[in-house]
Amino acid sequence: MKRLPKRNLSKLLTQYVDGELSVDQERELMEYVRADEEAAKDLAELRAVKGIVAKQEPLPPDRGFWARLSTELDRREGQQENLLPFPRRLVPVFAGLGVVAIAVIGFLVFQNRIPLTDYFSEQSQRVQKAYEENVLRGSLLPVFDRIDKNQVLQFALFGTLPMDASAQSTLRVDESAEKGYRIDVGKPTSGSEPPVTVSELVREVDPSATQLQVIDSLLDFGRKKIETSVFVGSDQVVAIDPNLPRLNRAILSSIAACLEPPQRVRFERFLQARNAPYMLASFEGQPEKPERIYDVFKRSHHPDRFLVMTPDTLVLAEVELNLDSLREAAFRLAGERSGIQLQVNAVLQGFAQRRLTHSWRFVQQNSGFDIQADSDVVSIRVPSRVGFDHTEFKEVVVRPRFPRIPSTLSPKGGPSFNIRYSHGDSGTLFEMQIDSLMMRFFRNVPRGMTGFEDVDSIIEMGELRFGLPSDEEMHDQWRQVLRQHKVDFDTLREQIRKWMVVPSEKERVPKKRTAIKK
Amino acid sequence: MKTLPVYMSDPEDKVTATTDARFTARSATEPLHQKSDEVLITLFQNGDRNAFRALVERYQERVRNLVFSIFQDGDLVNDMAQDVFIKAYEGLRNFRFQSSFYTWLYRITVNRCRDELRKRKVRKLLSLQSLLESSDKELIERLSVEPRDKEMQEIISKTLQALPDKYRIPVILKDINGLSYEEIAETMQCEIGTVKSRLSRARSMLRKTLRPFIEEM
Repeated sequence: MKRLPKRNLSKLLTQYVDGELSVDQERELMEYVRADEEAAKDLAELRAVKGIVAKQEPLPPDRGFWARLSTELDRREGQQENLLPFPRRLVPVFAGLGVVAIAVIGFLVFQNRIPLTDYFSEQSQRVQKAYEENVLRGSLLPVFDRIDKNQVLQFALFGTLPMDASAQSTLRVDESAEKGYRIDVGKPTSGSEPPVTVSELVREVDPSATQLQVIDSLLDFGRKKIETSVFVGSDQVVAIDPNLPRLNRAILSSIAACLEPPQRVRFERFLQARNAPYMLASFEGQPEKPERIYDVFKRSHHPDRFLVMTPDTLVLAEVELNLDSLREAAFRLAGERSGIQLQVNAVLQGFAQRRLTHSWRFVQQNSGFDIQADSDVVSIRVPSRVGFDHTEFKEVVVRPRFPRIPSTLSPKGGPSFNIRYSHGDSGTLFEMQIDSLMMRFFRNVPRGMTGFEDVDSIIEMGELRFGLPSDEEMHDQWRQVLRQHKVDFDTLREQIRKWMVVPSEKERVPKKRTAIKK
Repeated sequence: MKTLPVYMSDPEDKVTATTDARFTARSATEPLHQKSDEVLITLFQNGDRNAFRALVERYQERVRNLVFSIFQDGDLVNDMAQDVFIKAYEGLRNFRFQSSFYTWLYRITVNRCRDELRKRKVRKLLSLQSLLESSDKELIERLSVEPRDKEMQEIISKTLQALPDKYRIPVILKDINGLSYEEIAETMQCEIGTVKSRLSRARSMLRKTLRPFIEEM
């Protein structure tokens, strides 16, 4: 008889022991086993194994099993029944009724879809018409028709524009990753920005004649945009172009785009020195051609709707502007600037009072605008989809400057470094001093902790104790900076271990200073 | 189809049930514990909870022993068995008689046990106490027992416990519960060929471990 492979034989023997072979298969296998001593031994062992396993003693019967199970089933059924306002067995009936009801309502809505759509559309149009015909009736005057290029540059850097000569109220545009774009109208903030002039910019950046022409043109464009962005009406109405919050960044991006890389570095220095809320994040790339800069700048900013504020409401309304007649009107009313200010103040005060005494909502739903007001400032959040696309100039990245958090521990002396923590389009700049960091670090090391093996331990402590954010990029910066300042981790670790066993608090200070090689 | 009067365990509860050939006039008069699984299921589906009780009492020990065979943990048995019967209670109303009741019940039991085994595996991994089960060598090491110090029952238990789940469950279903290959395949929701291979492999592992006792016997 042909010898079976071991694996097949094993399977067949198992099936034989389990009584799963047919009569013919059994007969053939037995013939084979009789002829093969090893197979016979295997079969005997398999039978024995089966016998041993089957010997397992059964558990003693559980007499109370049903009682417990029954109680549990009752409890569960009770729970389920309590949740329903009708007997459980009626669930399919009610479910069916629900489906039928939804289908009937859906059918009715579908049948009446045209009248319903018309109704909502009509209501919406009626509200819109009421505003455009009544609220906006009367003359509109541009609030910023007399600003110069210095003020445009000031706006580009800081996003602020005084709304009257005495700067009692200010328009401020702002952006941040968390809060989005914002327009604030109201009292100026306490820390007023330093005055900026175009000549300072020119001195710092040192542009060529062509570049100077581009900058001049951009500031002029900016002036015109601002001029047509904020109006005040005779019926206590203020209209603001919702694209305004992106204009300042657009001006800065466009200026940076026309500069050479070294000039961009100087431009960034210019911004940094004045603590402008924007920064140049990259300096590389060839200057853009003036035509392209103008093109991008011009096509980016087409206001078709304005945010119209009255003392009671805020709506997004279409305002048709005739700039020539507006300028003419502004010229005629040149002596009434104080009247404009009064109008603005009346709107703001009305808004603030409304806010304080009533709850109200934006007339146009789902527009993405949000508004908050207090007695000083009306703040409008603008959805980020509107306005200038500052990503047009890919090589030149202008973004909100990281707020600087200075070290408060050791204000004088010692090497310091900045940790830049980015998050999306914004971030934070931590200014740390090596000495103060190490002092603070040592002071906060828990007694008995000895696991400082490398810079990562320091970073972990930084996260733990200083609340610094955890971020790979930041860790790399830490490593780099600590290496640059030759912080010797072996010495540091030894010092920490020695320090750990010194009980006196006073002895810690001189020791921790020795850990840093300068 | 025919409509018959059905007598519940309480003679006062007389209902009319629609049933098929499984339900005969004779079975209506039998005590519940003598009725077939199919009849009890039909009674239960018509609202007789005592029919479910009869099914539980018929199979509770088999389910408990199956759970015990798989886990070798007496503390776990009753909770697991209760879970199994709760699941059966919830599912029995929709039982379509496409398999036998006990195969269906075993499938619920095996699935519940698998869930528990999965959870335990995760816990083992987390507590870093697991042993690698991949190679035969390691498996044999795990299977090694001290025959002189242990009772036979404990040895069998330990030996079975050391088998990977996919080999242990078919052995238990076959050798302890006496299921056929087809029923095992149905219970474990796999092919008969898989059952054959796993049983063959499982027995081979068991032979290696139990050889000293086989020789003594």
